[in-house]
Amino acid sequence: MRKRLLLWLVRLYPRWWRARYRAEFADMLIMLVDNRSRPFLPLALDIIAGALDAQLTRSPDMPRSIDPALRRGGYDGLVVAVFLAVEVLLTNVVFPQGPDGGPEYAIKELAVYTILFVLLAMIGVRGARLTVARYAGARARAGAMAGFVIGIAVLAMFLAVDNLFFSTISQQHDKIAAFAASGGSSMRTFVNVSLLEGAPILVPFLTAVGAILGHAASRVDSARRSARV
Amino acid sequence: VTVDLSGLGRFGDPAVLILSSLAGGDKHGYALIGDIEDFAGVTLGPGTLYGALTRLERRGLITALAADERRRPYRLTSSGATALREYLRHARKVADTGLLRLAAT
Repeated sequence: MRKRLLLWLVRLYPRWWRARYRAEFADMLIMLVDNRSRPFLPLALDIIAGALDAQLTRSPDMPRSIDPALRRGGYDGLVVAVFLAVEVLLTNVVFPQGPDGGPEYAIKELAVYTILFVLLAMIGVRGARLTVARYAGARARAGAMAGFVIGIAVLAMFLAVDNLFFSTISQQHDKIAAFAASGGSSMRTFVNVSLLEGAPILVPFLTAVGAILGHAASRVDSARRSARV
Repeated sequence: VTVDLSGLGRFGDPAVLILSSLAGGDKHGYALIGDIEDFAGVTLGPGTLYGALTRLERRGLITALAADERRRPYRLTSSGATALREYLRHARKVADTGLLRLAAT
Protein backbone atom coordinates (compact mmCIF):
# COMPACT_ATOMS: atom_id res chain seq x y z
CA MET A 1 0.00 0.00 0.00
CA ARG A 2 2.76 2.46 1.05
CA LYS A 3 4.84 1.46 -1.95
CA ARG A 4 1.89 2.00 -4.30
CA LEU A 5 1.16 5.43 -2.84
CA LEU A 6 4.79 6.50 -3.20
CA LEU A 7 4.90 5.25 -6.79
CA TRP A 8 1.67 7.13 -7.49
CA LEU A 9 3.33 10.36 -6.31
CA VAL A 10 5.82 10.03 -9.18
CA ARG A 11 2.92 11.09 -11.43
CA LEU A 12 3.25 14.58 -9.95
CA TYR A 13 6.51 15.03 -11.87
CA PRO A 14 6.29 16.69 -15.30
CA ARG A 15 6.13 14.54 -18.43
CA TRP A 16 9.65 15.33 -19.62
CA TRP A 17 11.03 14.32 -16.23
CA ARG A 18 9.06 11.05 -16.14
CA ALA A 19 10.16 10.19 -19.67
CA ARG A 20 13.79 10.53 -18.62
CA TYR A 21 13.90 9.39 -14.96
CA ARG A 22 10.72 7.49 -14.07
CA ALA A 23 11.99 3.91 -14.52
CA GLU A 24 15.17 4.35 -12.48
CA PHE A 25 13.41 6.52 -9.88
CA ALA A 26 10.65 3.94 -9.35
CA ASP A 27 13.22 1.16 -9.09
CA MET A 28 15.12 3.14 -6.44
CA LEU A 29 11.92 3.86 -4.49
CA ILE A 30 11.00 0.18 -4.37
CA MET A 31 14.47 -0.70 -3.09
CA LEU A 32 14.34 2.09 -0.49
CA VAL A 33 11.04 0.84 0.90
CA ASP A 34 12.00 -2.86 0.75
CA ASN A 35 15.56 -2.69 2.02
CA ARG A 36 15.90 0.42 4.13
CA SER A 37 12.43 0.65 5.67
CA ARG A 38 12.34 4.43 5.38
CA PRO A 39 9.36 6.11 7.12
CA PHE A 40 6.53 6.89 4.73
CA LEU A 41 5.88 10.57 5.46
CA PRO A 42 9.40 12.01 4.94
CA LEU A 43 9.70 9.96 1.74
CA ALA A 44 6.34 11.22 0.47
CA LEU A 45 7.09 14.85 1.31
CA ASP A 46 10.51 14.65 -0.33
CA ILE A 47 8.97 13.24 -3.51
CA ILE A 48 6.28 15.96 -3.53
CA ALA A 49 8.94 18.68 -3.03
CA GLY A 50 11.02 17.12 -5.82
CA ALA A 51 8.00 17.06 -8.14
CA LEU A 52 7.27 20.71 -7.39
CA ASP A 53 10.88 21.59 -8.12
CA ALA A 54 10.80 19.64 -11.39
CA GLN A 55 7.56 21.38 -12.39
CA LEU A 56 9.32 24.73 -11.96
CA THR A 57 12.44 23.56 -13.78
CA ARG A 58 12.59 23.86 -17.54
CA SER A 59 12.71 20.73 -19.63
CA PRO A 60 15.96 20.16 -21.56
CA ASP A 61 13.97 20.61 -24.80
CA MET A 62 12.44 23.95 -23.80
CA PRO A 63 13.91 27.27 -24.92
CA ARG A 64 16.52 28.53 -22.48
CA SER A 65 14.23 30.90 -20.67
CA ILE A 66 11.03 29.41 -19.29
CA ASP A 67 7.86 31.33 -20.06
CA PRO A 68 7.97 34.22 -17.57
CA ALA A 69 4.21 33.91 -17.03
CA LEU A 70 4.65 30.31 -15.87
CA ARG A 71 7.51 31.26 -13.58
CA ARG A 72 5.55 34.16 -12.13
CA GLY A 73 2.52 31.92 -11.60
CA GLY A 74 4.67 29.35 -9.80
CA TYR A 75 6.30 31.85 -7.48
CA ASP A 76 3.05 33.71 -6.76
CA GLY A 77 1.38 30.37 -6.05
CA LEU A 78 4.10 29.56 -3.53
CA VAL A 79 3.55 32.89 -1.75
CA VAL A 80 -0.20 32.22 -1.52
CA ALA A 81 0.57 28.70 -0.26
CA VAL A 82 2.66 30.12 2.58
CA PHE A 83 -0.30 32.23 3.76
CA LEU A 84 -2.60 29.22 3.43
CA ALA A 85 -0.15 27.17 5.51
CA VAL A 86 -0.37 29.75 8.29
CA GLU A 87 -4.17 29.67 8.07
CA VAL A 88 -4.24 25.86 8.21
CA LEU A 89 -1.89 25.83 11.21
CA LEU A 90 -3.86 28.48 13.08
CA THR A 91 -7.32 26.98 12.52
CA ASN A 92 -6.34 23.34 12.98
CA VAL A 93 -3.68 23.39 15.68
CA VAL A 94 -3.33 26.71 17.48
CA PHE A 95 -7.03 27.59 17.67
CA PRO A 96 -8.83 24.34 16.79
CA GLN A 97 -12.35 24.94 15.51
CA GLY A 98 -15.52 23.17 16.63
CA PRO A 99 -17.39 20.74 14.39
CA ASP A 100 -17.71 21.68 10.71
CA GLY A 101 -21.06 23.06 9.63
CA GLY A 102 -23.09 26.01 10.82
CA PRO A 103 -23.12 29.56 9.48
CA GLU A 104 -19.82 30.60 11.06
CA TYR A 105 -17.97 27.73 9.41
CA ALA A 106 -19.68 28.39 6.07
CA ILE A 107 -18.77 32.09 6.17
CA LYS A 108 -15.15 31.29 6.98
CA GLU A 109 -14.91 28.76 4.15
CA LEU A 110 -16.59 31.16 1.74
CA ALA A 111 -14.16 33.92 2.70
CA VAL A 112 -11.11 31.68 2.22
CA TYR A 113 -12.28 30.48 -1.21
CA THR A 114 -13.24 34.01 -2.29
CA ILE A 115 -9.82 35.36 -1.34
CA LEU A 116 -8.13 32.41 -3.05
CA PHE A 117 -10.08 32.90 -6.28
CA VAL A 118 -9.42 36.67 -6.29
CA LEU A 119 -5.71 35.97 -5.81
CA LEU A 120 -5.73 33.45 -8.68
CA ALA A 121 -7.36 36.06 -10.94
CA MET A 122 -4.74 38.65 -9.91
CA ILE A 123 -1.92 36.18 -10.51
CA GLY A 124 -3.36 35.51 -13.98
CA VAL A 125 -3.29 39.23 -14.75
CA ARG A 126 0.28 39.61 -13.48
CA GLY A 127 1.38 36.62 -15.55
CA ALA A 128 -0.44 37.69 -18.72
CA ARG A 129 1.23 41.12 -18.54
CA LEU A 130 4.60 39.38 -18.73
CA THR A 131 3.90 37.41 -21.88
CA VAL A 132 3.76 38.76 -25.41
CA ALA A 133 1.48 36.00 -26.70
CA ARG A 134 -2.22 36.75 -26.54
CA TYR A 135 -3.81 33.38 -27.29
CA ALA A 136 -6.01 31.75 -24.65
CA GLY A 137 -3.39 29.32 -23.36
CA ALA A 138 -0.84 32.09 -22.84
CA ARG A 139 -3.36 34.10 -20.82
CA ALA A 140 -4.35 31.11 -18.71
CA ARG A 141 -0.99 29.59 -17.88
CA ALA A 142 0.08 31.79 -14.94
CA GLY A 143 -3.19 31.19 -13.10
CA ALA A 144 -3.08 27.49 -13.96
CA MET A 145 0.47 27.17 -12.65
CA ALA A 146 -0.44 29.06 -9.48
CA GLY A 147 -3.49 26.82 -8.95
CA PHE A 148 -1.37 23.72 -9.48
CA VAL A 149 1.32 24.88 -7.06
CA ILE A 150 -1.27 25.84 -4.44
CA GLY A 151 -3.01 22.47 -4.82
CA ILE A 152 0.22 20.51 -4.30
CA ALA A 153 1.29 22.78 -1.45
CA VAL A 154 -2.08 22.52 0.31
CA LEU A 155 -1.91 18.74 0.18
CA ALA A 156 1.68 18.73 1.40
CA MET A 157 0.90 21.09 4.29
CA PHE A 158 -2.16 19.07 5.37
CA LEU A 159 -0.06 15.90 5.26
CA ALA A 160 2.57 17.62 7.41
CA VAL A 161 0.13 19.25 9.86
CA ASP A 162 -2.07 16.16 10.23
CA ASN A 163 0.92 13.96 11.01
CA LEU A 164 3.06 16.33 13.06
CA PHE A 165 0.08 17.42 15.20
CA PHE A 166 -1.80 14.16 15.03
CA SER A 167 -2.79 14.22 18.72
CA THR A 168 -4.65 17.51 18.15
CA ILE A 169 -6.02 16.67 14.72
CA SER A 170 -7.33 13.29 15.88
CA GLN A 171 -9.64 15.09 18.35
CA GLN A 172 -11.53 16.85 15.56
CA HIS A 173 -15.16 15.82 15.60
CA ASP A 174 -15.44 15.49 11.81
CA LYS A 175 -12.34 13.33 11.51
CA ILE A 176 -13.53 11.07 14.33
CA ALA A 177 -16.94 10.67 12.66
CA ALA A 178 -15.45 10.03 9.20
CA PHE A 179 -12.95 7.53 10.60
CA ALA A 180 -15.71 5.69 12.49
CA ALA A 181 -17.77 5.50 9.30
CA SER A 182 -14.77 4.19 7.31
CA GLY A 183 -14.43 1.08 9.49
CA GLY A 184 -10.62 1.36 9.30
CA SER A 185 -8.22 0.33 12.07
CA SER A 186 -5.68 3.19 11.97
CA MET A 187 -6.83 6.80 12.07
CA ARG A 188 -3.44 8.09 10.90
CA THR A 189 -3.54 5.86 7.82
CA PHE A 190 -7.15 6.90 7.20
CA VAL A 191 -6.22 10.61 7.36
CA ASN A 192 -3.22 10.19 5.03
CA VAL A 193 -5.00 7.99 2.51
CA SER A 194 -7.98 10.38 2.45
CA LEU A 195 -5.67 13.28 1.68
CA LEU A 196 -3.82 11.43 -1.08
CA GLU A 197 -7.11 10.23 -2.55
CA GLY A 198 -8.20 13.87 -2.70
CA ALA A 199 -5.12 14.87 -4.72
CA PRO A 200 -6.46 13.79 -8.15
CA ILE A 201 -9.50 16.01 -7.52
CA LEU A 202 -8.05 19.01 -5.71
CA VAL A 203 -4.97 19.64 -7.87
CA PRO A 204 -6.74 19.51 -11.28
CA PHE A 205 -9.63 21.55 -9.81
CA LEU A 206 -7.40 24.38 -8.59
CA THR A 207 -5.35 24.24 -11.82
CA ALA A 208 -8.53 24.57 -13.90
CA VAL A 209 -9.99 27.33 -11.70
CA GLY A 210 -6.66 29.19 -11.87
CA ALA A 211 -6.59 28.87 -15.66
CA ILE A 212 -10.19 30.05 -16.10
CA LEU A 213 -9.97 32.96 -13.64
CA GLY A 214 -6.52 33.98 -14.86
CA HIS A 215 -7.68 33.97 -18.46
CA ALA A 216 -10.89 35.90 -17.73
CA ALA A 217 -9.19 38.48 -15.51
CA SER A 218 -6.35 39.07 -17.98
CA ARG A 219 -8.87 39.66 -20.79
CA VAL A 220 -10.66 42.25 -18.65
CA ASP A 221 -7.29 43.79 -17.80
CA SER A 222 -6.28 43.94 -21.50
CA ALA A 223 -9.60 45.52 -22.45
CA ARG A 224 -9.28 48.17 -19.76
CA ARG A 225 -5.70 48.98 -20.72
CA SER A 226 -6.66 49.21 -24.43
CA ALA A 227 -9.56 51.53 -23.59
CA ARG A 228 -7.18 53.83 -21.71
CA VAL A 229 -4.83 54.17 -24.71
CA VAL B 1 37.24 23.88 -18.17
CA THR B 2 36.41 25.33 -14.77
CA VAL B 3 32.85 24.80 -13.61
CA ASP B 4 31.92 25.91 -10.12
CA LEU B 5 29.12 24.57 -7.96
CA SER B 6 27.47 27.89 -7.24
CA GLY B 7 23.89 28.52 -8.26
CA LEU B 8 22.64 25.10 -7.22
CA GLY B 9 20.60 26.59 -4.36
CA ARG B 10 19.33 24.03 -1.88
CA PHE B 11 20.82 21.29 -4.08
CA GLY B 12 24.37 22.54 -3.45
CA ASP B 13 25.12 20.28 -0.49
CA PRO B 14 23.54 17.16 -2.04
CA ALA B 15 25.48 17.91 -5.25
CA VAL B 16 28.81 17.87 -3.40
CA LEU B 17 27.87 14.60 -1.70
CA ILE B 18 26.89 13.04 -5.03
CA LEU B 19 30.09 14.17 -6.76
CA SER B 20 32.14 12.87 -3.83
CA SER B 21 30.36 9.54 -4.01
CA LEU B 22 30.85 9.25 -7.78
CA ALA B 23 34.54 10.09 -7.32
CA GLY B 24 34.75 6.57 -5.88
CA GLY B 25 33.16 4.96 -8.95
CA ASP B 26 29.99 4.81 -11.04
CA LYS B 27 26.75 4.36 -9.08
CA HIS B 28 23.00 4.31 -9.63
CA GLY B 29 20.51 6.20 -7.44
CA TYR B 30 20.03 3.61 -4.71
CA ALA B 31 23.78 2.93 -4.45
CA LEU B 32 24.41 6.69 -4.20
CA ILE B 33 21.99 7.02 -1.27
CA GLY B 34 23.64 4.10 0.54
CA ASP B 35 27.19 5.32 -0.09
CA ILE B 36 26.37 8.88 1.03
CA GLU B 37 24.79 7.54 4.22
CA ASP B 38 27.94 5.50 4.86
CA PHE B 39 30.59 8.14 4.26
CA ALA B 40 28.74 11.33 5.29
CA GLY B 41 25.98 10.14 7.61
CA VAL B 42 23.48 12.10 5.51
CA THR B 43 20.20 10.53 4.40
CA LEU B 44 19.15 11.99 1.06
CA GLY B 45 15.50 11.71 0.04
CA PRO B 46 14.73 10.43 -3.47
CA GLY B 47 13.28 13.77 -4.61
CA THR B 48 16.33 15.66 -3.34
CA LEU B 49 18.71 13.15 -4.93
CA TYR B 50 17.12 13.40 -8.36
CA GLY B 51 16.76 17.20 -8.13
CA ALA B 52 20.53 17.38 -7.68
CA LEU B 53 21.26 14.67 -10.29
CA THR B 54 19.17 16.55 -12.87
CA ARG B 55 21.13 19.75 -12.27
CA LEU B 56 24.53 18.06 -12.25
CA GLU B 57 23.75 16.22 -15.48
CA ARG B 58 22.63 19.44 -17.19
CA ARG B 59 25.84 21.18 -16.16
CA GLY B 60 27.89 18.33 -17.56
CA LEU B 61 29.39 17.50 -14.17
CA ILE B 62 28.07 13.93 -14.32
CA THR B 63 26.90 11.75 -17.17
CA ALA B 64 24.32 8.99 -17.28
CA LEU B 65 25.53 5.62 -18.54
CA ALA B 66 23.44 3.00 -20.35
CA ALA B 67 20.72 1.60 -18.10
CA ASP B 68 21.27 -1.83 -16.59
CA GLU B 69 17.67 -3.10 -16.63
CA ARG B 70 15.89 -0.25 -14.80
CA ARG B 71 18.94 1.06 -12.96
CA ARG B 72 20.94 3.80 -14.62
CA PRO B 73 24.44 4.40 -13.27
CA TYR B 74 26.01 7.85 -13.25
CA ARG B 75 29.66 8.75 -13.81
CA LEU B 76 31.71 11.77 -12.76
CA THR B 77 32.94 13.74 -15.80
CA SER B 78 36.29 15.51 -15.99
CA SER B 79 34.46 18.85 -15.47
CA GLY B 80 32.77 17.36 -12.43
CA ALA B 81 36.07 16.15 -11.02
CA THR B 82 37.60 19.61 -11.52
CA ALA B 83 34.62 21.36 -9.91
CA LEU B 84 34.64 18.98 -6.95
CA ARG B 85 38.41 19.34 -6.47
CA GLU B 86 38.18 23.13 -6.46
CA TYR B 87 35.23 23.10 -4.09
CA LEU B 88 36.91 20.73 -1.64
CA ARG B 89 40.19 22.67 -1.70
CA HIS B 90 38.29 25.82 -0.86
CA ALA B 91 36.30 24.03 1.86
CA ARG B 92 39.54 22.64 3.33
CA LYS B 93 41.07 26.14 3.39
CA VAL B 94 38.02 27.47 5.23
CA ALA B 95 38.07 24.53 7.65
CA ASP B 96 41.82 24.88 8.32
CA THR B 97 41.42 28.60 9.00
CA GLY B 98 38.50 28.00 11.35
CA LEU B 99 40.34 25.27 13.25
CA LEU B 100 43.47 27.41 13.58
CA ARG B 101 41.45 30.31 14.96
CA LEU B 102 39.62 28.01 17.36
CA ALA B 103 42.94 26.59 18.57
CA ALA B 104 44.20 30.11 19.26
CA THR B 105 41.25 30.98 21.54
